[in-house]
Amino acid sequence: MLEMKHVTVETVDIKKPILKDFSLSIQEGEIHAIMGPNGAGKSTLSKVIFKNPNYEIKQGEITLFDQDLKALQTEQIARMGAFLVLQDPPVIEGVSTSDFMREALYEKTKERVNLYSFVKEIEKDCQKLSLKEELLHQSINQGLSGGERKKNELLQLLLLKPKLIVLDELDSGLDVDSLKQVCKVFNDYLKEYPSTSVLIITHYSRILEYIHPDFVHKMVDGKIVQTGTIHLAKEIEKEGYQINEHTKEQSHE
Amino acid sequence: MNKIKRKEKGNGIKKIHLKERQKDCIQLLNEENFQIEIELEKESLLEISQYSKNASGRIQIYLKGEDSKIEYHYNTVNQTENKLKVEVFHESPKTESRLFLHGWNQEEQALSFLVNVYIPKGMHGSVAQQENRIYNEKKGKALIEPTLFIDEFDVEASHSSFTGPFEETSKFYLKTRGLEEDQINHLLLEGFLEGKELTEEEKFHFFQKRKEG
Ligand SMILES: Nc1ncnc2c1ncn2[C@@H]1O[C@H](COP(=O)(O)OP(=O)(O)OP(=O)(O)O)[C@@H](O)[C@H]1O
Ligand SMILES: [Mg+2]
Repeated sequence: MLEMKHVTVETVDIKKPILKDFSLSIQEGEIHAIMGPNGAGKSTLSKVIFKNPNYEIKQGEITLFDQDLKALQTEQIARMGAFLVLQDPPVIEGVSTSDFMREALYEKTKERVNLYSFVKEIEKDCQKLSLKEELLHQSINQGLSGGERKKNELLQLLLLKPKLIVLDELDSGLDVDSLKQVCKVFNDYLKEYPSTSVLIITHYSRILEYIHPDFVHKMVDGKIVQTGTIHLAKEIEKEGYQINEHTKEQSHE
Repeated sequence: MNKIKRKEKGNGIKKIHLKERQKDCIQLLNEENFQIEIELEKESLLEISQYSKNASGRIQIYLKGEDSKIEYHYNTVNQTENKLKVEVFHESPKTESRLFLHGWNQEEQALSFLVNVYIPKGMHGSVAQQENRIYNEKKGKALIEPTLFIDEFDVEASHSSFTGPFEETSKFYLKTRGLEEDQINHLLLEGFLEGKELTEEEKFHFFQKRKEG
């Protein structure tokens, strides 16, 4: 599904290296979690997978759905079935959520749906996430709280039915009850489409209590320094991200 | 905005005068240079949305009567060099002007918005608001110059300006949902230029890029 081999990435503007010899392999139906401290390069990783123009892949190989990422553009990656839940979804003034979602849906199905049928179709998903339908007629994310924006991301996910999902700090902005609710909706989706692959990016292990990963990776300074199971997440929760003797030599300086 | 009451050609010289307590909501469409003079009497309310293509213009607004109010949405698509000059004269207390000037500068040309708002002493309780934006698609010149001449304490004045290309984060976000550059520009522009109020035909005409040759 996603294969990254010895990938080095730097920013286009100031040539700052962020991912350093980074490798990761995600198979169909697997759930991976990456945990790392602020600035480790987690959001960068998610954007690199979606070919954000601010980053350049200097070394290594990335294949996504068995295709070389080099030859793909962001919108193609999305159309092949990858979905990114952003850490901070932006406000886009003047573009209504429904117009944009209908356009996205059209790209997937090549069928136009009118506003009425669209709202009818999405009503249930709004209810599941306790989102007011008015949001569909407003500008994208305008006037929404951090948590509501994350729910709006989930709403789009349910509509587009992706095969590979990257969640960048899904839990940020969500209160305890909302997190439970959103994770339930997410798990229901995985139950319905069990071949979906997931990459969860997070600082805290809290979300992993609800969405159970098959693998947990610890990421420090642009690379994965340790891989394990949920026990690793618990260990990190207890001890923080300080690099232990074992991994010290691989870290910088 | 309220419901548009009438549509008019905006070309050439035009005078609009609202009597006491009159309310009006007008849509103007123009592709030639224009000059508009507006006079508002007491407690009148005027809402204008103007769609302008490749045109320069001058707008003079006289808020003559107490409690008179204007809301002006100016949306322009620019492929040649153009300039808009707006002057607002708050001539009575409790008068309100709200200007929303949005331009899409498509080519490497110059587009400028010059806005002067005058609120002399004694015009207490007045409101002057401006939100001016130019999206500069290529490397054209975009200039916004708002000047407030305010001699009265008790007024509420605000302005915001923006010139530049569409934000990369917005574009990236829409691309991660499978939309292409062209679709994205179309959506962003339609929103930016308040294109929803136009008919399909007008929209096509207004947003269509000039064909070469
Ligand atoms: N476009 C950019 N230009 C310059 N520096 C950048 C750019 N993008 C990221 N960085 C830097 O790279 C480092 C990693 O950023 P990134 O956002 O990937 O971290 P993160 O692991 O997601 O952190 P957090 O946990 O706080 O979300 C940071 O030091 C950041 O300042
Ligand atoms: Mg981050």
